[in-house]
Amino acid sequence: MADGQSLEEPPKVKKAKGKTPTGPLFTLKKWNAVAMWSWDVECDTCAICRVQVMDACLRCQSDKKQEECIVVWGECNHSFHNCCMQLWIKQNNRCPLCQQEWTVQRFGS
Amino acid sequence: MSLRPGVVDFDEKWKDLSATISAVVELRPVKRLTWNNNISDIYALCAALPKSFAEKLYESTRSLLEDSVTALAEEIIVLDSRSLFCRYHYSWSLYRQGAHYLDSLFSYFNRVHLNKYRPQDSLDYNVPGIILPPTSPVDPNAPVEIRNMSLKVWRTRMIDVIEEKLISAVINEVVKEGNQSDLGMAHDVLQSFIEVTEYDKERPYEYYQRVFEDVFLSEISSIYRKLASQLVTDLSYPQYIKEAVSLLQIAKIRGEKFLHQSSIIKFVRECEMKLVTDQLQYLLSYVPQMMRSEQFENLSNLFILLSRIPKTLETLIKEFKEKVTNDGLVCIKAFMSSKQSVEALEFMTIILNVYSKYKDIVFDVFGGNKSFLNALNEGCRGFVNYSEGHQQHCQSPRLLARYTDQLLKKGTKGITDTELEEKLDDTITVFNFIEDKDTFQKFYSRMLSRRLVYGFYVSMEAEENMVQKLKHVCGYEYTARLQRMLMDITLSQNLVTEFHEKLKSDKEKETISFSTLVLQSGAWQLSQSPCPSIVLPQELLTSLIKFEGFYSSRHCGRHLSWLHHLATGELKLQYLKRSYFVTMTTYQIIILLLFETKESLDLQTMSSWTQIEEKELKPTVQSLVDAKILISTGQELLLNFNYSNKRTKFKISGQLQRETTQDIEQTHQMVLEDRKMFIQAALVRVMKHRKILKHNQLIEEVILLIKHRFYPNISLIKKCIEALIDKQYIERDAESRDTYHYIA
Repeated sequence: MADGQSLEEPPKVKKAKGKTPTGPLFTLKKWNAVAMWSWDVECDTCAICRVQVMDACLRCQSDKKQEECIVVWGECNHSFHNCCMQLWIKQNNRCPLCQQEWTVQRFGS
Repeated sequence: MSLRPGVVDFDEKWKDLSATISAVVELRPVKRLTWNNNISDIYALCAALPKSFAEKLYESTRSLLEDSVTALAEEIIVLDSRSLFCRYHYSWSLYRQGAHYLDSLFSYFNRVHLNKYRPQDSLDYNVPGIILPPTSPVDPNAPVEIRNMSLKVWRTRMIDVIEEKLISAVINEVVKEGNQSDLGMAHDVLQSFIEVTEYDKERPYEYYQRVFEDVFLSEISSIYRKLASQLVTDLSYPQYIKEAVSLLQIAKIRGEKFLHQSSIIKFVRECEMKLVTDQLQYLLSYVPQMMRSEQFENLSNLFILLSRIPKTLETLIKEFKEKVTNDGLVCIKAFMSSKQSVEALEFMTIILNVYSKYKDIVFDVFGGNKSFLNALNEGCRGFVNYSEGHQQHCQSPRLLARYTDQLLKKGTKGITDTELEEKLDDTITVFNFIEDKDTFQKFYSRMLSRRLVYGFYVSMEAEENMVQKLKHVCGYEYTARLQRMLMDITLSQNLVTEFHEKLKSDKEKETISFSTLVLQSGAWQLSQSPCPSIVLPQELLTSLIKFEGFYSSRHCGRHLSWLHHLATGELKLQYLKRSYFVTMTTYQIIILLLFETKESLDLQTMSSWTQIEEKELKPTVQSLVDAKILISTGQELLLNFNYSNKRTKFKISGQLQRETTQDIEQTHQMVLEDRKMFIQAALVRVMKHRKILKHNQLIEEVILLIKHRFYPNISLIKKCIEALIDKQYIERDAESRDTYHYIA
């Protein structure tokens, strides 16, 4: 690759020289960005188990099922670990944060 | 001659027969004709009419043998020890052969006459479904085969008579420095004790043991007791153990030459008992001293002695373990106190040197014994986990992680794959000794984060390989995050490929070559962007927005946050005599692009245009000045239009992110936080399983679950229990306060 580049270069240099006063000074060739993804949630912590939603809940951690522990959003836009919510609605089908009736809006994927 | 039974004169036949019998048992020659006639005579006597003479023949033969053996015994018993021994040996060897010949002379008698004394069911009447009557016990006085009868006669008329003198003669012969042939003779003599009762299939050695072995062993016991106490006074300690080793070797070799198989081990045990077990206190008293001054030859001899006796190695093992720990501690402490910043490579070298020195000793001195290998590991654990002062963190987990980082980082020159593999295995050796495995994990994943994000890793194979090794020691859970990180890299590469394919199919033109890593937050230890509102140049922003659109079409409910302080790019400088392709950080790119429209800029303007905070901006500008791309006039910054470089494609370093003490402290803090989580998870796991548990029992079980990861302190566990009560995972029993219930 380095060889390819050096072969290309001489003509470009000449061009650059000629264009110096008018053309752009810089050209961006490459960009290697870094991004971090997280669940798009209002609150980082699951209000039911008080563990960060990016981490698996304590029950999944102790059962070693970290990979399966996903996030669920309600229509109220509050979010929790899906497995925490499953246990919660058995007792009370309302969002623990706003007390609205719990309806699933979407699951994380 | 005739085979038809008839009337026979017993006395007449017996006269000839007895002469032959006497000759045979002394192995004197017998004429073939006589021999043949005798065989016929025996037949005739057994088949005689009106009544068989078989029983009379048997009795007469027996009393003839008894008389002759008794006479021989009387002759032998008066001899001195040496002659008695030789004479017995000689007489026995004749007699036993004679008895054998006699047996063939009497083969008709054995075959036909003895049949009626044999238990009936020895014939094969075993038809299924038919139950046979129980066998009648064999009459001990019933006639037996002539050979066995002869041997029995030898036993009762010879051995029983001269027993005492004979045994002491044998012991004399084998204990003194006898030559090979004496031992051989002794072997034959002992064999006679067994042969004379060989027909007793159920207890063939009982007689031998009673007559000889018991006496012999008690005799040996007293001889070696005297010998041992003599040697202890006469010899120095090293001489004693050396002598004892060789005495035991000799005893075994000699024992094998004369003793019956079943006695050898008993004999050697008896010697060991007197030379080693009874002298144990004396033998062990020098262990600490020998260990301290590394007298490995003596220790080796001592090991040979003690390893013969069960449960005597403990002291030696314990001292060895302490020796390893102390040796290691001396090295580690000297090293730590001589250095301001401790070098990972030297640190590893010290540990591995101590380890390999003592590993060699385990094999050279202690025969590769398993208990000593364990002691070696324990001993290493003792010094590897050393920390200066009570409150200080142990340095080893961090240094080991650092060492591994250096191995897996690009730029380790001249190292082959095999060497790398060996060195990684070394790290695992040391890793096994480390108690705070979680601390190692934290530092390791921090360094792995950097290697992967900056692309510093030698190869993904090597990274995978190392994670596999760690997994092998600590299990899936331990390496789950590390594996997640490696997976993120692969996923990102695929994602970028798909992204480009998508753009291609949409016929969208790309102005810059864009790639990105998309990492799962939580798995990675990377700092958040210090300048969240940074203003990106248009080209970068376009790519970024396109990618975000693509990403949200792939995943649901995910949010991307960009870590621009970790991103790099390649900028083409085209205002110089030659064009240059320079790899630099995103911050550097953003600063340089400002000069597209301005000839000179001051820091304040830069900051307000880019929204890069001053504490990030200053070092970034400085790095560009250091690279001679910018020129500083003190107030303002200008592009250097005279810049030149031998290379057209190169990289300028951003501010190097060195590991500071603050970083290290921060990492230790994170370890502590994780420990709380880990303990809580363990508590939940135990309680879920047990439902109800007492405090102490709960603590015990939790420690059992987590000690492979780190050595927890009790107060931390107590805090975690409180936390779980607050979170309503468990509750205290209403009556007994030290009992907990699990809340489902």
